[in-house]
Amino acid sequence: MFAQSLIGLMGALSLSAPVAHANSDILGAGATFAQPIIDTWLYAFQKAQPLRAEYQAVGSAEGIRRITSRTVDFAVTDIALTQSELVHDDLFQYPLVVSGITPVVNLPGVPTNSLKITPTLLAKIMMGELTEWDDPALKEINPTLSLPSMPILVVHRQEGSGTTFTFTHYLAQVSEEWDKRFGIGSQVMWPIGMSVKGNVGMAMAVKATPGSIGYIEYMYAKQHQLNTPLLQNAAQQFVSPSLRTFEQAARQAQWSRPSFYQSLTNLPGAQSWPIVGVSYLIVHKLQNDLNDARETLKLLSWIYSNGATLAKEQDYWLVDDESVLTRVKAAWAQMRDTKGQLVLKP
Amino acid sequence: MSSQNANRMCTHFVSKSSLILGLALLLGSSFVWGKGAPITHQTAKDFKNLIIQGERPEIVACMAATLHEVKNIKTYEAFRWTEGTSKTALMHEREMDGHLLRSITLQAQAILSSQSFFDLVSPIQVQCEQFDEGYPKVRITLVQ
Repeated sequence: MFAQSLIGLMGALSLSAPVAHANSDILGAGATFAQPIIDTWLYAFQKAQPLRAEYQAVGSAEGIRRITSRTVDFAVTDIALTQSELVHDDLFQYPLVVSGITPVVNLPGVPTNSLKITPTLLAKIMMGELTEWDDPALKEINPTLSLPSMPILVVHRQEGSGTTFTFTHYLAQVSEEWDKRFGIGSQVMWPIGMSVKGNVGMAMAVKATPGSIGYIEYMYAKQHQLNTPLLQNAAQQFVSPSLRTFEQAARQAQWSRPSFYQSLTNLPGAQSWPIVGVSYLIVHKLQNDLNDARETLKLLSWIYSNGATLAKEQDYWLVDDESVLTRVKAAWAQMRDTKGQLVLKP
Repeated sequence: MSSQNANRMCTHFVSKSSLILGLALLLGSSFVWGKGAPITHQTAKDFKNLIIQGERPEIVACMAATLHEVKNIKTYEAFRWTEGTSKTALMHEREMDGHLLRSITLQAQAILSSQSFFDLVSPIQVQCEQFDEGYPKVRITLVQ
């Protein structure tokens, strides 16, 4: 009862209280997927501007929770909200960056970028239907590799995760059985495997466990020098994860929906990486504090002017299509505070 | 049972007596607020509360639409989510000719309106269909 009252009180306070900044002028929270590039941007932004900005990588679901309860200025999520959901809470969402999600394996004696996996076999592994690394089906597509005779250990995410949402979205597209039994979700009823927290937790678990397979944002795979396999795409080509193959997929996006929601999994194209995730940025249309809102927009606008090169250096692709930019800037121009004042000076 | 689920139960599982009491209070308040009463967007409030409680973001619109639907139908005396609702939610998505169709299946429990002295809890299944990101259409069926 006490907890319920507390939640109610928090909800009521969140309607009127300004955003609680710990030590920063601008505070964001959400996906760990985009954390490396957001941290880089914030570092460069603070060198150029006399403002303090902080991003708390707490996961997409928690980011949505915090922006809804107005305890942060912006949230970043890989689980896009649909238009109906955005309307419920007066939110504006747009695509910020794109990058790849890749399976990662720990296979003694098998070099990185050499193991080939088809979508069907990947789904079977994740469902616990293919349990040994030297299974004939894996040997058949990897005739030159000496696959170890060891059990496959699946590692998945424990908490509500945007990376899991994108990964299961892919599995549901390539496997009817996966779709029917487990569907798409930031959390699903994994039939097997061990669960770990965050992209870093995933990297460490796979690195420490011979015979394991997990899924992770590409930058983390690179940082932790994990073994990434070649994955067969919709054009039946085996491709490796790289900014070039992520871009091939991302260039096909239309971003035409009011919420900008767009799936970038299993898209056509000979060089398209099949599991590409989008990190969306979410802000409130109606802002409590005019000054906070202006500082937040200063950062977001700075990202568009200065962030693309920094993003490419870290294998992210800043979504700065002209059509997206026009709509984003139009939405910023409509943002007001509770007294009706426009956030951006006309 | 987690405190989150205990909260859910408290919030959504109302007994007959508390329903009668609530109705009496509501009638009373309608006299007080008879003129110029503020409009409450209940669905938006449900949505916000469910998000703050930490439900899976992708199923919250369906949950909020379901609560709204349940309030408007007489078949159910009471309604509650189960401990496993979020975990067992099954979501599918299809894109056809540029249109997006999302469907979500949720498990819940309800007490049917009846003349019986005892309240019997029945498992129910909620099916939401969201077309082109619009407001979800809800279908509630009794699991036999």
